[in-house]
Amino acid sequence: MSVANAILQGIFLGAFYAVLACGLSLMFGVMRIINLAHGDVAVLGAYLVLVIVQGTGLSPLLAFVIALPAMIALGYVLQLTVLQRALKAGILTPLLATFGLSIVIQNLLLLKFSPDVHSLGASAGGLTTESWNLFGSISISALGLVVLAVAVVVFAALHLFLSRTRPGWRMRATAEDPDAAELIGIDSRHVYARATAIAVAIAGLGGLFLAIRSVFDPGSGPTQLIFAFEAVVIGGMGSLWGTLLGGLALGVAQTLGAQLNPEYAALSGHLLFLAVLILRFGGVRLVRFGARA
Amino acid sequence: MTEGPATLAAVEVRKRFRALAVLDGVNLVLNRGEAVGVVGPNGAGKTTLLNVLSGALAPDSGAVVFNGQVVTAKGAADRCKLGIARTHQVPRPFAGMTVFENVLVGATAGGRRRGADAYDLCLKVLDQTALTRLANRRAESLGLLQRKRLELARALAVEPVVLLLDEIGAGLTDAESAALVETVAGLKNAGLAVLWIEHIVHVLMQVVNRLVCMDAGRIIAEGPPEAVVSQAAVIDAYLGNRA
Repeated sequence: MSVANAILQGIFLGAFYAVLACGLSLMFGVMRIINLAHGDVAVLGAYLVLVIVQGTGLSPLLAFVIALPAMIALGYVLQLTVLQRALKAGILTPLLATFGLSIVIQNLLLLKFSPDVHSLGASAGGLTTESWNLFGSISISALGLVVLAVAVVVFAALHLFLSRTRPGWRMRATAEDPDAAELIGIDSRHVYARATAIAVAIAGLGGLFLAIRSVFDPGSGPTQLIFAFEAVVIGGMGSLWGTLLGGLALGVAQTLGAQLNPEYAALSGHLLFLAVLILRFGGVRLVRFGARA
Repeated sequence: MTEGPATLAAVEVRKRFRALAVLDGVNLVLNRGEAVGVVGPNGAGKTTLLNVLSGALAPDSGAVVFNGQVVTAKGAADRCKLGIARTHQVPRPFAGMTVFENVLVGATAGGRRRGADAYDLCLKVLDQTALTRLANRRAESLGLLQRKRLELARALAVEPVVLLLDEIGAGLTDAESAALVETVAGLKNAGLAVLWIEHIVHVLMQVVNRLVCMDAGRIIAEGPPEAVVSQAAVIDAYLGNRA
């Protein structure tokens, strides 16, 4: 594999991370909630699609369209019941609440589906097998292209929603200052519920891609959360387009690391994450601590 | 007193922060087409009163009545939709949004306007507050005085019946104050009920029908502006026993 091919595969992989990270980034941007159950919500979406595929024989993509309203409703209810209460109780409580939620989702999935590993790769047909070669050494897979295209569409759609629609304006206003937003007639609870509904729906999409490109089991969530979280942080917390770029950067770092040694894939992603953390936050802190000492 | 229920009324409103009675039985009536000024030393409870009226803060006891309807239990968003808008003493613009978007979100949320209708209202409000030239600037790039104007513009964009103003005149030059007085007078004449907290009494005097003076959570004087400012209690409250 050439370096150019590794970079291209990294972009495809990164687009998947970006989709996973999108909802995480939105929830943090709007509500300052770090949703530790985000990866598990994605896996829950994968199981939902699996159930529909097994029950109806539809392709996973169509099955996801059927699952989508359920994911949206789940997000809406989740916000109004659990997260809204947690938000009122201080900044640490949402973290604990979503951590608890993560455990609950994992165990419910374990109870219902056993620890067996599943994949939707086989039922996705040509999507997983089709690929083309350019110049002999560069391989373009159908799945990679689809994920990249969907990622760009999702981020563009969210951008248009936030910049061009009335619910989008309200979401941005509430993200800036929920109290001031209330005073011009915006019900922040409703806005937050919408944001979580969108985040959960996109997490479900991430779950779908996870299930098609790889395998999943009830415990797959936390790993996905880590990659999503790294994508958000690399791109800059609270920045939507940054999250897309962060996901792509993470993907490229992983495939380039794998070029050196397949075992270095995850490690080189983590190193990029660490480097960004140190450059953006660590350096300043070190200087301040140094000055105080 | 006018006929029928007041547009906005506070009835025996009390609010404590721990041992401190910030509002200690405040009664206040505000009618359409009227501007009422609120003066008083720092800590008199003026801003707290505004918070209770706008729904940002729930009183411990007492009621807030809007057009004969008790709204004490309603939140700020619901009261805004009824027609109660306010500005903050320290402006709180949506920093990452443009001036136009700040006003637009008010017009479409609290003002319930849509499409071209909303844009027209925004243009009118921006013109009224002399912000048209800055419409496409991000709010975070504005200076303090411009932010204060934006605060007023955003409140006007919800097309309120009652406008609660918290020290929007502080720091203005004489010319700017005169423009502000003219704007408020226009709103009053258009039928709005305006409650205006301000330290600069001579600015208030130019536009208000009544003046209310608060001290230590109580209203200590109320009536025609000239009468109120000349009362001994008011002078004491401000100057501390004619020091």
